[in-house]
Amino acid sequence: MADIVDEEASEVEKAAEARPINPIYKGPGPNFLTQLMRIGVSLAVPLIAFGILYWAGTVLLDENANRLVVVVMALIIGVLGVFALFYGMNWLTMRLPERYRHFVLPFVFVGPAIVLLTIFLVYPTVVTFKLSFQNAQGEGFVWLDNYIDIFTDSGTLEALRNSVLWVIIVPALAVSIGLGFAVLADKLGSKGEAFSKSFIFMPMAISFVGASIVWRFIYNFRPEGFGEQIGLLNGIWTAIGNEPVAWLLQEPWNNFYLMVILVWLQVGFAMVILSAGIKSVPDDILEAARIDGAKEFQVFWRIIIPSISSTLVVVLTTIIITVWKVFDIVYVMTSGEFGTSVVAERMVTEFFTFGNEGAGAALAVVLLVAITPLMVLNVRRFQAQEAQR
Amino acid sequence: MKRTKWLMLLVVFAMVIAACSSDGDDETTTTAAASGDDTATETTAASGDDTATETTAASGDDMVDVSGTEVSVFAAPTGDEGASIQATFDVYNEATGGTVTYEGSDDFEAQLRIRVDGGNPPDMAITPQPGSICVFADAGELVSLEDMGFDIAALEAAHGAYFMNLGVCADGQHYSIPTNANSKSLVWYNKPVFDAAGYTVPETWDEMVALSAQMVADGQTPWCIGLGSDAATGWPGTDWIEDIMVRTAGADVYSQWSQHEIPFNDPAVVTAFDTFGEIMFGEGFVLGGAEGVSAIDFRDAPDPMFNDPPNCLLHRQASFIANFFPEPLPREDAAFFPFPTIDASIPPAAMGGGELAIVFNNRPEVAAALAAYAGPEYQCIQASGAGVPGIERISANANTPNDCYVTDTVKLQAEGIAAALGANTFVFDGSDLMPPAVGQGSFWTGMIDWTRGTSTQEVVDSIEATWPSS
Repeated sequence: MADIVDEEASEVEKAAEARPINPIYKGPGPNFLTQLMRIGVSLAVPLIAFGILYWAGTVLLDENANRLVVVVMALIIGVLGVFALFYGMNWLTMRLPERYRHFVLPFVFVGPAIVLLTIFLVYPTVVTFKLSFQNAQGEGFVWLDNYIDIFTDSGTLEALRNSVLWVIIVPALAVSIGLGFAVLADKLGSKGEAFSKSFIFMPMAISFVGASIVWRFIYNFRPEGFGEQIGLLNGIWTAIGNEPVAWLLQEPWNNFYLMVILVWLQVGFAMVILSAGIKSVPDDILEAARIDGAKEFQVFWRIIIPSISSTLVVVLTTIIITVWKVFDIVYVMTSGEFGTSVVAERMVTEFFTFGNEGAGAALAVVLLVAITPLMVLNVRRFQAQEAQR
Repeated sequence: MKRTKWLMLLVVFAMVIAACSSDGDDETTTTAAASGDDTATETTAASGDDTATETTAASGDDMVDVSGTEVSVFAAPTGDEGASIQATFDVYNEATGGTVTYEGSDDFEAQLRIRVDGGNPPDMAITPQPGSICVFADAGELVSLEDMGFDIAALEAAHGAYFMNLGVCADGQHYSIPTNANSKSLVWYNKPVFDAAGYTVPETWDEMVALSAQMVADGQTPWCIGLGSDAATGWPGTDWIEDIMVRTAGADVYSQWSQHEIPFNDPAVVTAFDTFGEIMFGEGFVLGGAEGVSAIDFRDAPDPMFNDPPNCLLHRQASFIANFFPEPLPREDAAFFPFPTIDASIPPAAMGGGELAIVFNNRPEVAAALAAYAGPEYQCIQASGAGVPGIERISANANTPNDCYVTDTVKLQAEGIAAALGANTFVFDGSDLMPPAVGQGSFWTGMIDWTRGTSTQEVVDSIEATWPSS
């Protein structure tokens, strides 16, 4: 999406250079015909794109076609097509009389995005809401039954409890550890800082499933008779003279062992963003504080933390949203058994494994409701930050 | 400059993908009749009369002359197994002058549905999913055995009433005949160690528990049990319960249980769990203790049986587990005995899976082909693999002679299955017949919780609570 927005922006600039739109246009306001044109251009781009793709699909999916030709054609259509489409629409709009052009042009670029968002985001959300009031087969209406089940069934209550624990513990740990690293790395020389930061940041490049597989080896357990311990943790544990432990079976601690994985993955993200925040704290304030006799600890708590508070909130909310949605780690490590299920994992299991569409959709709605306030907060903060600049 | 580089990379990447995907073609394989037409003409010319009598013998029906007719059969097995099915029909084609053509597909379930919905069903299909039979039958796509003139009582005697009842649908008619069966009710052991210690194969559950206690007294851990299976962790435990259930409650109660005609927390189910508990919670009976079985992957579970000295001596699992034994394969030291009887009043039972033939087109030659294929004569040919080396398909007909099979291990399995079919104690894997919320959900979770100390009553109550209403 971001790429398209960039392209749009540069396109608008180009177009503006070519034939400037009068910024203080004083002609008549938008009339009915303008509205029609706005809807027209908004729909035209997705429709033409769909048409071309449909046609290309029938040609490209021909089994007997030369693979090389297919690939080259796909690249041309996919990469240049979008560009050409927007350019063409822009060119067409510029032919319009000025009083239309002024109102229609923005919709050439914003319209398709709105249309696509409606189809792929708004519509599914509405359908999910409807489905959450329906039965297992997605028929009839059982109204609040699915929700009552969620808040009475011991399995989903356990998932809710675990999710809340995840949401409290993981962001707190990830942000505090990340912040600690960011502050300490700031004290190192520029080479040492880059080196140590890249190490902390590295897990960010690993997918959740990949990380889970790595950690399965760390937590691996073999009962007596099944050969030597190959798990890192049990290797260390037995080397200091203890009996091997089936880590992932230790309720309720196994939840914490799974959270560690996500903390490991997210610390890098928190560190990089917070580090940038710390560097943006003006040196003169810090210097003034030190001259006034403030100790490093006081500088940190009284000056750095308040200065980066908005960054902290953004990092915190972003991680909380990630944590609410965590599914892969739990699914790969324990598949939600041994008291480790979380809401997103229950949602997938109910919907796809058990075929209970109503219950799955209701869990999806619960997730959405839990995440929405954070989204709003995040966007508001972001806007406030932008406004300050 | 930089952009060109990226574009080049993209092109190369796309080309690699294209090259990789180009050979992943449709998996459907057609094992065409080797020489269908030739055979047909030859046989009709040479021995038309003989053919007729043979067909009659096979089907026990009115005389049907199938020469010159064509029948299509569709099922899942491909490769050597598929070839052996076609080879069996080739023998039939040669004898009767008909042309039965077998086609196998790795995507059988979906393909069958597509063909039926498209109005182009095969004449006969052989499905491993009993649940799909009545879906087709209730939609009016299938021909009932009654309509084709089969003798249901005779079929029940040969295949067991339980197995035949899997094909009884809403209208009370029968729609399927089992053509193949496999058993999961096997207990594996390390034969050299077992013999050296002077142990004997137990004939009853009590003897098996006593043997386990004897092993403990001798300083051995008797059982290796592993319930681990990634997202399906718990299923090996459900197989134990099913094996015990059919032996303590009989096939009828078992059938009611898997179809929720009795609740999951019925006393009969509690008895099955508690019986399993005699082994699971026996002092020193299970390697790693009951607490740890969920941490052991079912594929690794038998490994300690082959350590030197072995860390356990017994392991209950279906025949496929032999492929997961530690190298070298096949293990010469591995042997198995059938899961023993528990209640003396219930004949030796078997729990497993199988394939059932269903008919879409009501033509006499289709019924004749089905009758012949399910009958002992062609089941015997199929049992030996019909000349395809390495293939043995266990018959679902109690009348198939045991010496049709080639290897001793398959003979032993087939013997148990034939006995169970004759006594109506052959049952399908119950959890596969239950709704997914139970059979792939709470039953698995229940087994995990149960081994970790949750009481039997709590476990069966919570599984009952998850059974979908409707």
